[in-house]
Amino acid sequence: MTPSRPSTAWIAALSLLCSIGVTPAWAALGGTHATIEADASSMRAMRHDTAARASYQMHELTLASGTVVREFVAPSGTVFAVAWQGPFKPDLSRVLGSYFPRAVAAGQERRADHRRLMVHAPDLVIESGGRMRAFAGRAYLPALMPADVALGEIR
Amino acid sequence: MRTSARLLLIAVILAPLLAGCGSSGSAPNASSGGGTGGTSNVQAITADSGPTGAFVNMVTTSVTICMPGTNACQTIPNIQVDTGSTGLRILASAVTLSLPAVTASGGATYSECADFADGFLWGSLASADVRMGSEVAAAMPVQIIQDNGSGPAVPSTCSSQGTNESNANALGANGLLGVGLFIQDCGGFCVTNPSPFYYTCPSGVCAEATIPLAQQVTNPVAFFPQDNNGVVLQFPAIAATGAMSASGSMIFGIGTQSNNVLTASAIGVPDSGSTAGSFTAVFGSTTLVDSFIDSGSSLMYFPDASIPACPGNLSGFDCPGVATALSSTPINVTLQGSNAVSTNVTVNVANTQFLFGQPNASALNVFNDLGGPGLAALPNSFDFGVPFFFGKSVFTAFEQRSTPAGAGPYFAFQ
Repeated sequence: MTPSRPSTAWIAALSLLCSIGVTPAWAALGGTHATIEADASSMRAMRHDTAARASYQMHELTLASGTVVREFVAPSGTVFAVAWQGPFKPDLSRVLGSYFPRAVAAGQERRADHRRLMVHAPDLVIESGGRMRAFAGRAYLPALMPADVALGEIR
Repeated sequence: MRTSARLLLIAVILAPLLAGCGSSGSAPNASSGGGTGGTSNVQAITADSGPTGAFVNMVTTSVTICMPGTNACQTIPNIQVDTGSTGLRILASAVTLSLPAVTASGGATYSECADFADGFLWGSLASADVRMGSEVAAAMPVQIIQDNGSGPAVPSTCSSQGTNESNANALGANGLLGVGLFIQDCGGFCVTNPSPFYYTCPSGVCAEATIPLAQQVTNPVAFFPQDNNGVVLQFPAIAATGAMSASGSMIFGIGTQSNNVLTASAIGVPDSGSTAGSFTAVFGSTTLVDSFIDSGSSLMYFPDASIPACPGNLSGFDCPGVATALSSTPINVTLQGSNAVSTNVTVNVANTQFLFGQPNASALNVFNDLGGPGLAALPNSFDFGVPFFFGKSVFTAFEQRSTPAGAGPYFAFQ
């Protein structure tokens, strides 16, 4: 959670989702989300318990821009994956938390074009793609993935 | 494998080999010239490794910018031509003119944080006449990419978008000419919502701001007096084993002159909603609803479990077959537009290890058969990148503009 001032778009989005007086809770990748039950009720964010298994909860926020951000939370309360899709990237420093510098470092490498950002490390995977007005991406921590979660679910 | 290591290898493979190739083939024929209107709507384009020599399949052109309403101009070479974004963005270090700033009603200057998948471009907005062919777009808002240390500091809501690519090495070009489907880079959302994308910067301190459409960074082609409803990118066919460079044409307008007549079907795409700018691509049993044609993509990216990614450090590329042969693999794709048009095309994907390991690989910068695995986070996307453009005329029709084949936005190729 960055201490910097939230962007106005985030305030707009969260104010739609949060009741007055409740601090909007947001858990970044690798962070803990001990308050997810309270968050889910105080934030009118769609909370999704998968029907197939109870090994994670998916917490979804729709930003004012239309971009959807999803965080995948293990029963321990740890956010083991995040994903986004929409016309703009979300605030990646918020979504990726302490892993954000890894994304920045990857972006500083040479690449084939500006349509991909990939980190494939033993402890961290980040995949960001898309073009102006249509972005999508995900990031996850392989070591913290519940055993029965398929990678295809992280989107 | 760490991405850094993979990309480093790509750099190791390509950069030294391509050094000095950036200006190869820089004298393309301006082809057929103007049509019946007497206006040249043709701009030479080149595909090669770009001015840094580090990329593959980079399409560039020269753009002339002028002080608004005057003949005080400069021509800036090596601007990447991108049908996957909107608006002209030029490195500040490449601009010698003292262009007037684009200002808000209170007089504050605007800056922008332009968003890309791998980072952002930060810079202020200036007004310039944009000249290509013999066409002029008057007083266009242009982003001056802040690569020379001057100007407002990058705000935290921009740096949180990822890597700051506001320099020649990261960008791989002197600028970006976005001639995609949309007229403005942000559009209506930024008119009514302060966002992390546009800022006003009174006294050099930037805060998120709304911005009218007319001040947003804009596709200059859409504001030419004529030939303003789309662009056509034309490249000759190249060998399946690659080429040093390819010289082509960017033709302005669709169905406005004798050199931009569309005979193929328009593949319609929605102008809003979750699949804005995308058509559906079908191959085999795979249906990909977020598909598009993009001169800013160096590869054709699509998910196909039968085509393995290259091993090790080239894992961002496709490697069908064996590394000792071209292993060209045809993919038969049907493109289905939102207008119920259906068009078939065959693209080929070759073994990238072979392509990059050929004895003459050091002289090869463009390929018509480079593929890359689809992104799991973009599971429904077939990205027809630059390899698709060779041997074709690819049409990008702008939103809100009429053409003989119907209103944009749409793609087409012939």
